[in-house]
Amino acid sequence: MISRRGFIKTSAAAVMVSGPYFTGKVFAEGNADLGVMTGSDIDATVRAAVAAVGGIGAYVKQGDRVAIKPNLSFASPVKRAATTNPDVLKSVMNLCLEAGAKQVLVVDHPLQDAAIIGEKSPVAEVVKDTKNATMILLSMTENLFKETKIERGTAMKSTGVAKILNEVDVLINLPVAKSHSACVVSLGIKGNLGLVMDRPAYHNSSDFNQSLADLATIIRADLTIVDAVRALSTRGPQGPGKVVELNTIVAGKDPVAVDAYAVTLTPWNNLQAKGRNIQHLIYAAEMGLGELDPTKLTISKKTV
Amino acid sequence: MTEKKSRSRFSLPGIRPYIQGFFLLFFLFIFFRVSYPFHEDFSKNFFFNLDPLIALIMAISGSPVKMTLLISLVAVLTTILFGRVFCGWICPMGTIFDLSAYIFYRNKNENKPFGNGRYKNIKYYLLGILIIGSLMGFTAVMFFDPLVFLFRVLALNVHPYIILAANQVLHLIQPLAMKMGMYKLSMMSLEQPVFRLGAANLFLFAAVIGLIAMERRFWCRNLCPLGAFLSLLSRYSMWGRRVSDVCIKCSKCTQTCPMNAISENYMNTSARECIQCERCAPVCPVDAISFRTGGKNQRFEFNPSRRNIIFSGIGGVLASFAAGTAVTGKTVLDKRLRPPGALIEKDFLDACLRCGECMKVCPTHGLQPAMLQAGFEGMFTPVLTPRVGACEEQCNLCGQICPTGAVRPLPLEEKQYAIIGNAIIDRNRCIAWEQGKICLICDEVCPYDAVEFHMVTDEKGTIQRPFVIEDKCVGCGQCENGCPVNGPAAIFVTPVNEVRKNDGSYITDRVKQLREEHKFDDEKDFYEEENMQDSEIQSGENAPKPWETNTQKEGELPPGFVE
Repeated sequence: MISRRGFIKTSAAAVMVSGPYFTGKVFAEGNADLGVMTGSDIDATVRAAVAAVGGIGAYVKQGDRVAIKPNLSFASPVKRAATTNPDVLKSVMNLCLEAGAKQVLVVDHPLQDAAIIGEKSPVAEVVKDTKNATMILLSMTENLFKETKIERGTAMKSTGVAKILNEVDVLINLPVAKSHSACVVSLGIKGNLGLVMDRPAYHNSSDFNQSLADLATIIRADLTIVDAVRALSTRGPQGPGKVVELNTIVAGKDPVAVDAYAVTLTPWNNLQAKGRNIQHLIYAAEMGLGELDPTKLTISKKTV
Repeated sequence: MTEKKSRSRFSLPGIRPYIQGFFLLFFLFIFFRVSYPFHEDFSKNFFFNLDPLIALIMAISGSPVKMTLLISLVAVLTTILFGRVFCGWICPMGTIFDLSAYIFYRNKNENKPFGNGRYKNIKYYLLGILIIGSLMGFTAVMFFDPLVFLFRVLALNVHPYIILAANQVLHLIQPLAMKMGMYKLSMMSLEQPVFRLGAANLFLFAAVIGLIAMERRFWCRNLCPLGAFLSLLSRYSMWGRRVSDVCIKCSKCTQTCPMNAISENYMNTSARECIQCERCAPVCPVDAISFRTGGKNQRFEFNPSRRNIIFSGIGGVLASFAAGTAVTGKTVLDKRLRPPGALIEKDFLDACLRCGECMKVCPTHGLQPAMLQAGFEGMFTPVLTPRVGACEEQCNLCGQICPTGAVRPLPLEEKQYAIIGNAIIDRNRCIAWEQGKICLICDEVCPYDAVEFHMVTDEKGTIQRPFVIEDKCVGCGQCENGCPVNGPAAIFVTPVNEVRKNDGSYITDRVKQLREEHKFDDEKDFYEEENMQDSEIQSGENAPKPWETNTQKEGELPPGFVE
């Protein structure tokens, strides 16, 4: 039996908690393995997805230096969905700074000329406008990378990994969801290629998909957030191809699970797939890097 | 003497070195500004626009003269009124000679004029060759314009080493910058340019500098074609050196004159040779020398002989015949990719100064000086060398910067339609075709989506292999640049289907239509949803594609996909 006072108290508490929720500012923190949020307000969607997997506080501590690794490979317009949406990046940067991060480094080794990305990419503007955020575009220069052995690697035994990773406390992988002609989809695991020096070596290795899994054994993001606001569903990785507006953000700690879930969002190159259809995710799961079947995990799925 | 020195500090000869220094620094400033990203302002091509020889040669070679080149009329007028002020006060090449002489020969007296001034006329003959040559359509001789020469030396020989040094410094300070939390700085690395044929250019420049051992301004006295042109203009200049009767014939002025412009009786001055530097005035012990208008000057000049002028004209004709293609209009066909927007080859060779501005500005440094791909007279003209650096889709600076319009200043969208060649796949070297590897870098990097992967079944199995869609390819060379095989790329650009236009748009209906035909249904979906009928999309899908024979069979899956 609820007492009147109790009822009023509970209601007041509920309003207090949910009030900010409806204004899109604060989200109840869940502890799901995957946060899958859909909504037209990008900022609210990103915040909801991160909140669902423990909130940013579970990853970023006061005074941390955070590296965010978006996909900045091309200076193409946002609507082509070949690179991470600047609004998503902005939300993630703000989340980290609000959690007390002292500095956010936006790091990528782009395919296109770094000078042009720095000048023309829509992301450059956003990073410039954010206080305590710095964009670092790596080029194929040896002293920016440290040659690292891949102990468990079979297709790739050693690779140059960005030195900057040693300087940061947290690594957040922020790929855009897009199709890829060599590995079906380019998500978090494939996104790791933006942190190594010699990208062509992976394509030239005995098995491209295996080499991606090998790389994932030495580079593991603390948090993976897949930007599927717009997904380039065909003709990736550069397009222009079919862009699907999914308005979805997938976040999670397990890089394989996040990718495996994001795969199911839309058909890639007109083939509907699951995690168990994607070779590089299979290899990664076989190496024990994560869960290939998201249905075994707790998923917090909402529309914001 | 002490009085003399205090006077000179405030006089024209006193401030000359500072003015010279200013213009040299300004030249260097402009040089370093010519880089990506480039923002246009008054300083763009300041010196090239001021150079009347460039405007003259453009005009007589029949190339369209860019309006900005008319700024050189200022230099023409100044020279007619005041003599070769440009040579003595402005020309950065002259300043470099003065500076080198100051460093290496400060304490030595000026040598006797080399060959008693007998070689002074060479510059007129060179100018003659140049003018007659360009009338015949051979403008490669612009190579010797001092401003062009200096810019090319800076671009091809100096700049790469500045970048090398800068990168070394960045490398050295990396640990410190890391520690201090300056991550942007610590992770900075500049694109290292390397230019083929740079050595030839450097030897030439070193030789020209070395000649100051014989005469302080050997180049300006005897060789410079721009100097020759200006000296012809300055024949009747109203301003000049005047000597009063108090002259004691001490010969100090002749020893000081860097141009050997003073007659043997010290009274008269060659208006053509004098560069108005006024070095002679302060050294005169009796103050007999002044620079002013009026007064009398028993002119004496070194006159080129008529016979030699005729010879130089014949030399120009012979030079253009020796070069071959300029006169016949038949250009050398070889693997030479011109920058997007380059004029028709013959006109391009006429208009190109070989100044190296486009090579300096190219962010990937893919524009390299040509060796013999474009014939003898095409040496040092820009050719795109994708293996060094490809043409970036989002950049059109080579055309924006070109001082003469040899590369047209195309807007970005136009540039993206200017076809400089097509990519070709060498299936024997391609690791996807030959070794069955999952390499798709050419597709990945292609900004025009002109590389497609399709399942092909052959004796090596069913493997995804690359194809080039020629109708979409503009020849930017990103694929050739990115190809991971060692040595020459397995996908490379040749000038097949190259489109060159002196005017008009590159975005023709035909090109548009061709690209449209190859747009895939999914692209159409997104970009032209409103304009498309369902039936049209269907027909696009059913349209036969050239590679559809012997390719992907029903039910076969792309690489990386597991059933």
